[in-house]
Amino acid sequence: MTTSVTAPLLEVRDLGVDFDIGSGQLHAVRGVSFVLRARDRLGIVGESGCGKSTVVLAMMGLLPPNAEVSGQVLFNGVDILAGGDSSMRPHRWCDISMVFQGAMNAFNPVRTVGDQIAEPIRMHRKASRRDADKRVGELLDMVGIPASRAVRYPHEFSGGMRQRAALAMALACGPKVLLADEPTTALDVIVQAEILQLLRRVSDDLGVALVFISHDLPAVAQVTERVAVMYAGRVVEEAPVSRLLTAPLHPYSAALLAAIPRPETAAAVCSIPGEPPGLDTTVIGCAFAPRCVSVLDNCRITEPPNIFDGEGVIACHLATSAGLPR
Amino acid sequence: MVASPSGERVVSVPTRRGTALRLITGNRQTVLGLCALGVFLLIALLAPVIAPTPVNTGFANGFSAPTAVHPLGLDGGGFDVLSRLVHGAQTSLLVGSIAALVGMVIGGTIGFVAGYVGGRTDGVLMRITDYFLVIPDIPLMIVAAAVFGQSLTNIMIVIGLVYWASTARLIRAQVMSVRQRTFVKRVEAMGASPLFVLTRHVVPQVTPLLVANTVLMVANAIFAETYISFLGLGDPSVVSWGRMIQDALDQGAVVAGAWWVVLPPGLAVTLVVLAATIAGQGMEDTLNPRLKVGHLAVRRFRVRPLHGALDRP
Repeated sequence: MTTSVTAPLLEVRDLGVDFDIGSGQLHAVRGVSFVLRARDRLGIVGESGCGKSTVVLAMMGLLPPNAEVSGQVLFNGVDILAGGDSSMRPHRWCDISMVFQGAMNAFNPVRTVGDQIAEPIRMHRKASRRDADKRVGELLDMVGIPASRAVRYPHEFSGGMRQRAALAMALACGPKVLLADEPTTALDVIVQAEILQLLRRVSDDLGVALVFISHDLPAVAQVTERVAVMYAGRVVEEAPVSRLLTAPLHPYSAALLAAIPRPETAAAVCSIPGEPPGLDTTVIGCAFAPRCVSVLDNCRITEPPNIFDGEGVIACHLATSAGLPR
Repeated sequence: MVASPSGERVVSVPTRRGTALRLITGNRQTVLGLCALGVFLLIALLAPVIAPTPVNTGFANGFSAPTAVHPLGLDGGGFDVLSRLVHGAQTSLLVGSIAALVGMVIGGTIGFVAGYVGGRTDGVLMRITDYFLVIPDIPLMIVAAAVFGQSLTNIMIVIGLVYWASTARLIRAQVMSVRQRTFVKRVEAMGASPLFVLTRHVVPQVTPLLVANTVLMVANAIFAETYISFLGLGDPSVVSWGRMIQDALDQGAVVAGAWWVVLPPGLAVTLVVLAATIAGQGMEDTLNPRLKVGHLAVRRFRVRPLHGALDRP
């Protein structure tokens, strides 16, 4: 927990997302809450299908019509989800912007990269074409792309450059919060490291709060100060990076850490046996219980509450009982 | 505004505008095709000047080989073939372009609406489209000609009505696929209105396809007009290439060995269709830079055979 007393910039309260799929409902996200202050950097990690992307798409109001969103997303204390699209629109890109999963798809292939970066500037700032072009040049320069490349088409960019350009586009209107959905997936490790560095740098330089989604815990740890671990649509543990990496409280977090290959110690990589519960099932008790090594009787009966322990939040019965797993 | 980390570096963005100009001049193929079409257009416009004699003046009572006065000879009715050919260009180009335009407007609109709105609207529009798709075109044209009369306007509308359905299907499919792409989601996330998304992102993505399809339709419509006239269902008051071929057949030009009557209209149809196709392909390449990547290139052009033409006794 940061010790600053500033008011929360972005607060997600009890966010839930259900998809109506005709034959029933999918519970994609359940009771997700977190707080972001100015300049905070929060990572969200979890395996595929745990609801990471759904959380940010819900925050941007981009879910398909069959999604039912519950809970609140407060920006400077105002619920931006409450009024539907009209309450969302003024905040889009100017306050909250997003880097989409798969930068290659975030660009329209038949329009130049510069044109597309200029779009939000012209849309929200009512800037002239000349001013917008100038700003595009600055943005590209900031992410390390020569401004002369603005007239190029997306297919003329490499994967890393496209990701940088996508970041430039997300920063176009000077947002306060940046949601980055798997920005390093599908890039090779060198480019990945460059992008992570760049993310850190721009969020420092511009004072942008960052929500960084990834399934790559080490990548998240390099960029953010806090990490939320999601499992089966719930945040099971949220803690400062240092604590999560050294002393995870939730057995799932511990298992995730153990699953990271560490060539320097030659220790065996531990996979987690089993698989997450189907999203269409109603989970009784803790969703992780069937795979948990330190499962208690209570875990299969009641859902663990969120416990705030001064530094982070954990949803595990082990934390409520005396002995915390170390 | 954020200062660039490198300080006062000169940051300038070169501009790349003038898509319309690029569309026409950006590709040698397009230039070639458009030039050829231009020549035909010029011939059509200048038909009264070029034609050595008035169209409907007979000179003899039968076939007559090319002479200095009649460069392409006379047909079975004693009419000057060259005069009829240049006047036929008017008919073919007019019918071809108007019918293709009718098809493009109807098919494009229905395709865009169905693909973008989706849901029930899509369902209703596509059932109507299916209905038009399964109507056999020649019987419809025969019926239409019989019911509404054999006028040029009717032929244009009927050809347009027959060919819009495939355009609608094509455009709808493309719009639907574009809609699902991440960049459309991204533009929506930016707070763009549906109209902005449609006009700035969906339409430019789909336009090459629409252009290519329209060019294909021009070629098809010229064919259709040719065979409608060939079947004797064309406007009796105008000369067209199809009617020239029909007349030639009726008058026994082949038996008489009068090649100068049969070849010119046939070659003219071929050349116009070829020119339209080449121009369309080139435009497609220019509009969609991705098509320049070899393996992504889609060559949809296919010249339809002349239905029914071979069955005629």
